[in-house]
Amino acid sequence: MFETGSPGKGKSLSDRRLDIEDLVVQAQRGDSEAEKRLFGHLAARFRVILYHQIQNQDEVEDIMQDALAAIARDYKTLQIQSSFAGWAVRVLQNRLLAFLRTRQTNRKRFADVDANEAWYASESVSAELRTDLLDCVRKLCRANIRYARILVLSFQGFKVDEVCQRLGVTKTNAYSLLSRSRSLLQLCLETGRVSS
Amino acid sequence: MSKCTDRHLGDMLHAYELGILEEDDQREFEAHLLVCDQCFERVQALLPQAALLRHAPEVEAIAREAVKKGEAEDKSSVSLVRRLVSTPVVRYLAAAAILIVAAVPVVRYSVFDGAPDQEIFLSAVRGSEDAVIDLSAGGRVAITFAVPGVTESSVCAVTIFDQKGDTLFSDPSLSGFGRAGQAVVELETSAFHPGIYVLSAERCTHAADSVRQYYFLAR
Repeated sequence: MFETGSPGKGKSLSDRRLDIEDLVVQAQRGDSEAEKRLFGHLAARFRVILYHQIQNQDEVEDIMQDALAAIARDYKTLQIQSSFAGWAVRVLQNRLLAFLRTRQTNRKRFADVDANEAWYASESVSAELRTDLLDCVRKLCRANIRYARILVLSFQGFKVDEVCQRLGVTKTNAYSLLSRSRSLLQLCLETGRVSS
Repeated sequence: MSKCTDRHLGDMLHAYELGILEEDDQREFEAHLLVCDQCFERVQALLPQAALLRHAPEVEAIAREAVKKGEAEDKSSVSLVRRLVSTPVVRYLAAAAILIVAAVPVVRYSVFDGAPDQEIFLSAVRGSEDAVIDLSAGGRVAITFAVPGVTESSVCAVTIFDQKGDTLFSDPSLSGFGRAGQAVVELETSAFHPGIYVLSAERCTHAADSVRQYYFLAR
């Protein structure tokens, strides 16, 4: 329904960097090129946001198209109080919630397996990717016990406030720790080591 | 890669990837992903790995094992220390050590376990030539600084930035100063590049000056 490819070749980097709020204004004024870029941009970002919660490509596409359709219908006439980005994410989340409620109902009816559980056990996650990640997580947890504790608490369903309380750290500390751990994780995935 | 458009939200990235952000923060971060190219590219780069970090039972098992091992090592260290401390000689040495340590109380601002690899001490009197981070050493560096007049209940806004004004570290309400007004910030050496840096302690409660700045080098 929406073209979601990236901008064409030949455009300079400065052309590709866009201010989403400016694009919205141009699109609302009837600039079809701006509208095309806006929805291409939204589609790419929505896919990543949705994949964070649902690792099923077909479902991600369905929800994304549904959200984009709702935005296309309303954005030209809507008086957006805060930012377009905030409003667009709310539209997306509403569509996602509606989908999850439907899936929950169907699961009760059909005893369906949790899609996320099925995903990580499936072959769509390559064995090499899984092995590399587990190896790096092992190294990282050995090097930094607090990161290991945060991982355990995350699996138990705790959010940041509770995690900070249990570790006895501030949110700033926790975000710093996570930021550094992520850098080390990325380093490990690239080089096999958790130190330079 | 372009810079993050909002450093405060950018710091939440890995918390988002692990799925531990509070709901409001998650919505805010997702709105940020619509406008920040750097964060979007970073999240996209580790998308499948982040999903594994959230869902794979093997990840949970590895983390639990590491925590269990860490707790066991802590217990055995405590037990060893207790046995050592019970000897009369060690008790005498410990008492002497307490007197020495009490003279220079510091609080360590660190999210790492274990001792740092190097330490520098910032002083307005000594100047930047003596406070130098050795980039070739790698590892972590502990940066100790003192703010005249602050007490253990004081709070400061502490920032470390480079010559270009880019911020490496920022805490708007750093607390827990020692009795001598000293505090320590620990960072990875890899966060620095060769050049001059400034540690700024501002709006410190009970401090003699409203702003205290220290210069140090990294080379």
